[in-house]
Amino acid sequence: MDKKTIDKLTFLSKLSIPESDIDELSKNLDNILKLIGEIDAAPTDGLAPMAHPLDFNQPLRDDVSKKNINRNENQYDQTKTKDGYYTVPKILD
Amino acid sequence: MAYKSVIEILTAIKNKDVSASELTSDYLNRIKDNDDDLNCFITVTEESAMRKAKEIDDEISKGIFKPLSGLPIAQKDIFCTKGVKTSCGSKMLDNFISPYDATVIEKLNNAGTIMLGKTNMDEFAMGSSNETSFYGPVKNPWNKDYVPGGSSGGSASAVAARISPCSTGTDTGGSIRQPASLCGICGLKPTYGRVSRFGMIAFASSLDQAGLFTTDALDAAVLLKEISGHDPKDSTSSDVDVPDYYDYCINNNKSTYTIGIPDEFTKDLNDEVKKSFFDSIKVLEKIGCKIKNIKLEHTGLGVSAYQVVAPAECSSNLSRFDGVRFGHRSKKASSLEELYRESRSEGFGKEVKRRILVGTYALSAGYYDAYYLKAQKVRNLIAQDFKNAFSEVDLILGPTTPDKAFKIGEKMNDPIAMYLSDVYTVSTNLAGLPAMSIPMGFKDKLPLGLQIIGNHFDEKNILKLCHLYQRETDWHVQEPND
Repeated sequence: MDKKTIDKLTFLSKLSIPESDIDELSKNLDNILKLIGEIDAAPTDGLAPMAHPLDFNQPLRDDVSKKNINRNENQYDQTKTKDGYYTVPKILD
Repeated sequence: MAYKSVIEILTAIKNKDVSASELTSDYLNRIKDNDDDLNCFITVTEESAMRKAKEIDDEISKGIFKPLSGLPIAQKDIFCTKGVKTSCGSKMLDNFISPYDATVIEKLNNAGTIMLGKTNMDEFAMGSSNETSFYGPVKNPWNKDYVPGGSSGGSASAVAARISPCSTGTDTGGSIRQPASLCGICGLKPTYGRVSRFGMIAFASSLDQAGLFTTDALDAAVLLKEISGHDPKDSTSSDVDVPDYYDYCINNNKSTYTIGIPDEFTKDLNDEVKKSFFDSIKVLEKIGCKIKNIKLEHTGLGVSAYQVVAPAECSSNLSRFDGVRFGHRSKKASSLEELYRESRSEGFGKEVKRRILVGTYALSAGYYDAYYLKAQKVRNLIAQDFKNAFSEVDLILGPTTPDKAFKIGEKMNDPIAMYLSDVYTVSTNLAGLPAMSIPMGFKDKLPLGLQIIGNHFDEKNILKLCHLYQRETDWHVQEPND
């Protein structure tokens, strides 16, 4: 896998890879693509894609709102919050 | 205290031969004595364990017995535990205290278990050796130069070392069965949907399933009943009835099974593993099982299909870790974009990043049909193979792993070799089937595992066959320090 493709993938997945790791990563990704490429020859004509392993209707609960978690418990990490809101770096100048 | 199994412990508690406090204290001391070396635990919850043990003793003194009153247990650090760090083996969640309990934790707490602590694991359950953990590798108690397997390596090693009588794990591609095999204990992965995934940090949502480690199949039968069942908080959990697995194992008269042996699971085995496996088959024949050779011709594509489906789902699931609401937040970021990128880059380890990139590739424009859609069709093909097989046989047997445990560091620079250690386990996850690994022998003084695969929701017959096998053999009672 070339560096341009790796750059595109790291951009999409919001990751950065140190320059010193790129060669090793590229080699490993090539090997992984070779492994997963083996599915290419599988005889799947006419078969539906299987997204879920069980063939049953999902039991759904009643559509009633419940209060499960309170905000103070959820925002115990005060380094990320202020006055009940999450803080992030400034977005607009 | 020389209690050998969950059932012995529960009996001793019920007979008041030992108190929950004495027992908990004993296991906490074993952890203190052994875990510096083994590294099974990320967090030991000594204070809350002793507090809970006292509560259980008070209940018992009033005649209140719950199904698992006083049973110490170790919980994999993938399950959210209210007020206790839940790291998932990652720097990303090193500071995460869950505001709620996972349903598995809630059920076990309500049944009377006492949590000894949270066990070490591969980061976000991505690994087969427990070497990707932010908290360092776990050692195999049979030989500390070797891995315990993964991703539930801490849970498996703790039970094998007898520093916890049982533990929880999760299995996305073999993460319960493979470490159970390498550590010489029982590891049960139930049917997908048998056990709620609520509060279990998601890796690959269509494959993940919670399960158990014990030393005896009957112990797993007792525990499985307590964690199974539909959960309104997880719409993928099934509302299929939960039988009394222990009662079925002990009292049901069924003692003969038609067992399928897939050629695909035995043709490439080395001589020692092959011998142990076929010796196990002889034991089952002796108790009246009928053996039938079967074909699972597409399971050879299991690892390839899995390595598309699992990373694709992981790349989506792990997008929630952005440094904003919880988990690691980079101090270097000066913009929101940098906050996301730097937090994720600092918080995730190499293997997790690699899988996110593979998943992103498989789902990206131009590659979706060739990889993700194709892998889902191969998944269907593999599921059809199992469906056809179960029209002819009751259960399917094979080795759990191609070989014994490998040395720490041996496969860390070769991801393909690492992925292939799950070659016999991933297909059952793709098909959503239940399976269990139990000890079947040794190679070079390291344990080997026998895998029993059942049809959907047929855990009871897997457990029963394992129980019948363990009545005839003593592999499961052997301990690392014998």
